[in-house]
Amino acid sequence: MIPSGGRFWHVEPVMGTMVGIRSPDPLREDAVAAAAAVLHDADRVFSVWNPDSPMSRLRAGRTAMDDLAPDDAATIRSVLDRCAVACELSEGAFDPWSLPGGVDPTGLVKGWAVGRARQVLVEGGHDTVMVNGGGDIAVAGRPDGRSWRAGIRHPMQPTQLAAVVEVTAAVATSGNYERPGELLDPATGRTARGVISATVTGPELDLVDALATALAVRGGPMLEAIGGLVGYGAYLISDEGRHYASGTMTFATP
Amino acid sequence: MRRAHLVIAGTIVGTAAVVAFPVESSHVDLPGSGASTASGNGTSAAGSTSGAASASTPTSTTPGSSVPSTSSPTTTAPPPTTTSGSRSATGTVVQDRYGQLGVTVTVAGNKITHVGIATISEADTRSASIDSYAIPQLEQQVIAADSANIDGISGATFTSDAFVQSLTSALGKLGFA
Repeated sequence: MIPSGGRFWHVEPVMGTMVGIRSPDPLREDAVAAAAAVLHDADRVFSVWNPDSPMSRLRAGRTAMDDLAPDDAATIRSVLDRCAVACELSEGAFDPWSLPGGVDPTGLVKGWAVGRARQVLVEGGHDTVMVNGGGDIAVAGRPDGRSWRAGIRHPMQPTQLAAVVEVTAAVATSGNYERPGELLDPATGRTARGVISATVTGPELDLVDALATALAVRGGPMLEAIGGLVGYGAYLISDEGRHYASGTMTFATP
Repeated sequence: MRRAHLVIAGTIVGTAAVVAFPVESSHVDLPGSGASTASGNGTSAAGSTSGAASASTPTSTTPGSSVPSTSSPTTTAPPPTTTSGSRSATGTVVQDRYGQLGVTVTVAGNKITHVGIATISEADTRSASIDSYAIPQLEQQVIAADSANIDGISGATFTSDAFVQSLTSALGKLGFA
């Protein structure tokens, strides 16, 4: 429990990144441990790096859903259910079933796990907390009576921010600037073009995470679609450097 | 289970992530470079990737993913001058599909003051982009940690299990488990 600028931080290396847990209140040891356990369990079940993870074995056809441990099967089923919701909301722009090599829920899992960690922290007594999993952020409460604020990394100038947005529940950013060519539009099979940074805010981080990917893939039409969802906001930077926003995206003064 | 709360603080000049494409070099000046630490070549320790919170769910990935650095890894990104009380350790060098990666971490008290690349395969195309992307990414976490106006940074990130494995083993050597 380390004070830092009036805040308390815990850093957990997991899921290929560093997950930060932050609160204006002293961190509760047991709650942080429970949240970390949730993150590591998600890593164990869904890791794409580990060929022996339940999800990897399922994808490779080396095991059937019914042969998995019941808890793992239930976890995978619930995540795939959320993927189906995200696929429908995104009008197919996020479609884990379209990827080569079998269904791959990776695009939603980190947001799902971080969102669950946030929930565990709330249930453990942290009514004001932020969990940041490599840029996928879930929050609860209001620090000092204000909104949580997330800086949106500038896609072309890594040391700078493109904007600061207010976060009431969840925010995620997707883009091609870290791994160009990785985002494909399931409808066309082509690399997404036109969007270099796509940010989505909303009530649930798993869907927010998936919709950020959908926004990066499809651009303008998805900006409108997300803007039409209750409680969601979208913020897009085009490859021409233009900034667009829709829905309840709320910008703050940097 | 002892649980250490680590914070990212101070002048972090390390790398949290790596990207797999060449980038035109936009060099980032690192504050206070040059101090050597007890890093060694990072290949000696067995792959104790059982770091924080893994008591509940071991994230043991590929057994034997710790490999000797046979392909002459280059040393990059020396850590900054450490103040008294700082301790450093280098994690297991981990092999993944991109090459070999070893992470050095420096801790002052319970604060992570530096995370850097200790070893990386010469052929690893990630090295070209570490300076221009990954280092600023961690610096931004510092900005967020110390800023009154920003609580966190959202951005597209490249995740690397090798990074986490090496970092976790380095933290384990410093007593954070």
